[in-house]
Amino acid sequence: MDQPKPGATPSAWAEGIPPEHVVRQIAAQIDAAFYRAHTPGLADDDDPADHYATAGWREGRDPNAWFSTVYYLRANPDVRATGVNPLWHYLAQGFREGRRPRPAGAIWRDDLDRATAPPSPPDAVAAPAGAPALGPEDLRRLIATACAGARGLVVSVSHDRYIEVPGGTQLLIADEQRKFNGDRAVYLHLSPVVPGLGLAADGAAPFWFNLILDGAVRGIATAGSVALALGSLAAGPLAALPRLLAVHALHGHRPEAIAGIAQALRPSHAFFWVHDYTAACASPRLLRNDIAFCHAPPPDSIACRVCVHGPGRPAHLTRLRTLFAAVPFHVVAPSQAALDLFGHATDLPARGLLVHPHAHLQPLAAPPPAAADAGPPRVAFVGHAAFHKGWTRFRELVASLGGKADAVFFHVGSPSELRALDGVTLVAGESSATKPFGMVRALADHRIDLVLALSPWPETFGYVAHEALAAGADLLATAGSGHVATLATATEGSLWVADDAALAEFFRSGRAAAHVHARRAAGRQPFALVHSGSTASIKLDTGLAPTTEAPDLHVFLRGGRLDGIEAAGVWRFVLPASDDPKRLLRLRSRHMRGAWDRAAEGERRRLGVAVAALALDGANVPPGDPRRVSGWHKPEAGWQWTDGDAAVLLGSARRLEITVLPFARYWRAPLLAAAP
Amino acid sequence: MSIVCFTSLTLGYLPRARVLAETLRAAHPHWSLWAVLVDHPPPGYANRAAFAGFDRVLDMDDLSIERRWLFRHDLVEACTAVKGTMLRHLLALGAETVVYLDPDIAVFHPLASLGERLQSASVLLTPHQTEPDVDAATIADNERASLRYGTYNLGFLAVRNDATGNAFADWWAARLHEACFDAPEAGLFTDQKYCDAVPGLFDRVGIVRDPGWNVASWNLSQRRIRFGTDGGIAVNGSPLAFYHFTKHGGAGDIMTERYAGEAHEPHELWRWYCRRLAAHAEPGIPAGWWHFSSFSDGTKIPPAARLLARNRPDVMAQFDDPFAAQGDSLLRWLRQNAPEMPP
Repeated sequence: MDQPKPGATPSAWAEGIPPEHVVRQIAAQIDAAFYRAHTPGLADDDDPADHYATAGWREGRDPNAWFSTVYYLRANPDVRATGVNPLWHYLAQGFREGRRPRPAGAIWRDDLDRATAPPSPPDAVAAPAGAPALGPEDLRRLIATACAGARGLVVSVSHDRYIEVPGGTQLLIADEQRKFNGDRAVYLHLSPVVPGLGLAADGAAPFWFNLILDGAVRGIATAGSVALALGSLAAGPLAALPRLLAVHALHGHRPEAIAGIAQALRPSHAFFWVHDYTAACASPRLLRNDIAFCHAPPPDSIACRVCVHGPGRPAHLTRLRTLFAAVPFHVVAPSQAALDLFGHATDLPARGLLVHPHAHLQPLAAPPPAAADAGPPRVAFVGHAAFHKGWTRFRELVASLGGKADAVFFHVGSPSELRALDGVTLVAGESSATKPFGMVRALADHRIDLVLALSPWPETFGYVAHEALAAGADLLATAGSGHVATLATATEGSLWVADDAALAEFFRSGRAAAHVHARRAAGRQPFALVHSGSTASIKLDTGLAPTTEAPDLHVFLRGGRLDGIEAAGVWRFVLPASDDPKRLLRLRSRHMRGAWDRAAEGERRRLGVAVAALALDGANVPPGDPRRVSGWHKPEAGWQWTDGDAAVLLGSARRLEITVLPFARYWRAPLLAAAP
Repeated sequence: MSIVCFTSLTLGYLPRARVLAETLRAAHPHWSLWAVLVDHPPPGYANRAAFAGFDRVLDMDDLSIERRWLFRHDLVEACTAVKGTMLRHLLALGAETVVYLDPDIAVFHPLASLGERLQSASVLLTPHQTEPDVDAATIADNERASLRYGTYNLGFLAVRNDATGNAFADWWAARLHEACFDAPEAGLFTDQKYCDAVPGLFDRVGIVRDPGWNVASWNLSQRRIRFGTDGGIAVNGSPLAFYHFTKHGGAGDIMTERYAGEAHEPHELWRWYCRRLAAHAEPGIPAGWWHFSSFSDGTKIPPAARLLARNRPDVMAQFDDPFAAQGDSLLRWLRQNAPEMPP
């Protein structure tokens, strides 16, 4: 039968066309693997083209990744009216008429269609099973006990239980906690029991926090209980103890509850971190209708009027203003670009503004040259498969290249983040509080050449981009990705393209392959990713460095803290008299964690001081002696590490001498050292 | 300068008209906003706040519109046919400027140049297209449709209360009273096609070619919508004054899909309009409601009956109220004499 003439009306088509003709015409455009993957129950001996022609299109199935059956019929009622196979119509005539095979805007379409203002999370009406609900007195006791002999108390606020969730912000909070702990400060973290993307409503019902104390989940408590406990401690036993507040995220929180916590705690300094732009809008990434960076226009602008987040923005800003009026925050951004945008986007009063990166890339000595890999570029998308991470841009890039790119594509992320996609290899890899370099390791192990950093909003820091560089990959960033684009511009071998068309052209033109092969041949500059400790290393005007060789060694007896005198590495303590043969002292010091330094990543221990000798009343207490009761690592040749809080059976001894080897450099939180 | 803006609608378009009202109020808080309601509510419907966004609502009695004349028109024809009468009415009341906007228009930025334009013009019209299209399919959708249905889109009209403005209003109202029909084969298309003649018939006619005025699917192929960093919306560099959400929920969806292309901004506006319509939904009005779509017993009036009403004055003269279904009615006449017409 003759092919229908272009321009013939669709109604003329439908008559008398044998099905085998349709099958023959469409067969080459049926992606059998795709069709089978999306057609459960299709028998192995069923022909996908046959099935699509006879049943599949009527069931709304798509024949391949580029043709949407449902869309084509919806957008072309004239075709629908004729009852012809829509793919056949498109191939024979539709494409010549400029009809689309699928909706425009594949990159943003689904997210625009789904966009809604995030609903306020519901009030938690009951404590979740298994989590003890702590009252004000329980909390007071718990915090007071932890703070005995501590150098400070830090209260930190974010959106989830950071020790349990992989992710950049969570990791940075874990790093901050460990560094404060290493300086012997107590770190209390509060997250909402009911998570939410937006702010929680300011209702009459109690607001419940999850409590994590020094990295351990301790239960839940209402904001009122936490404020009561902190207020009582701040006015009483902890009055002289330096206290800090760090707000990392407000998602799911009630700002009024945070203000209450701050007023009870009366911190010497409070910090509001600009990890995103929640301070300016309920759309934390300033994505208008969840798809387009909006530059934070005035709330009464037309753009806000047509945005799903616009109607709620004035009330959101009022609550933020109330919080900032109640708490004199230092606003701290991890990049200048983020601070600049914060300044443009908000009019919140701040005690101070500062830029403080979460981490930096320390150049390492280049490895000896090796034979360059001649294989195709290995290109990765990293992390959550979401629009705001650039996932749909990556997906459309891969689809538009249609397997013709001289490159191998990977998606690297935690198992729950990975999305199956034709032509993309999935790789499990994630960073977490227990595996801070998990992502760096995964990227390095898979010899990734290029990490695509395609965020459609100005990222404040771009932790993943830092991980990529630390893994030996180059960045390929798109304009508008904030500090990520800045980083790509400033780093040799990393690149930046203007838009999606330029991105696709970079691969199609062969420039990607040329770039990667040149970089492999030249050898890349290796970097170590060095975490700053975030709030733990903020100096303000203290002039103190965030590291020190001073171990702040002291002993802690039931009666309290005793400081010693140090000379040439020998610490001498005079102890009160006692006839208690079971009297224990605790040998406390700053401590550090090797796992957070990638060069010592294998070091899992918490290290306090390396003790070369320990004597009671002049008599040696050697390694392995049962009087070294607890908190001692395995003896090494010439010394034994404490874990920062080691117990010694003292008995009636009156003198303690400890020889400490200067092996350690400790974190010191400048604000704790400087506080009154 | 007193500016009165009016729209014309049936109750089915009430959500649209409310969006027009809220957006016009935001852009032009000092304009007076009127509506002509070419409808009666369904039995039992009583929402006194239905037109809360409007300063005045006139019905057909207010404009002395006869039921016999109304019977000649389908819904779109009726809503457009009354525009001329309403325009004359408002000019007679002394409005210095009368602006008409279709109920499915939303105003974004103020029509900033309106006053200046009316210094040198008495009638302002917006062409459907202000730039030529290129490919054949687009030309067929846009330019050729304009050749058939009218060069200027009568979703917008501004008239100054001067001699020319009144002469135009009198002429237009007369034509619409005589024949405001969807009959392209007869050279007619409601109130719109007549206006092709306006620049020839009248002096001081201003053609507004500002790309921010009357953006719609029929000119989207040549208009690039962008959100500015200041939160404004520009079309080819001009502020978006008003967008015409024509045929929303039907052909408009398809044409917007076709001509917005990869640009997300028109889709953002379209989605916003969906949300505003939902927010302004009027639950007491059944879908597709129009009181004058039926005879008094609920029998749908077929298009052929409307044609008969136009063409057989001798028949129509026998019936005082052509909508009546009881007794010696037009409906009975139709059933006896043209049995293929009424169901």
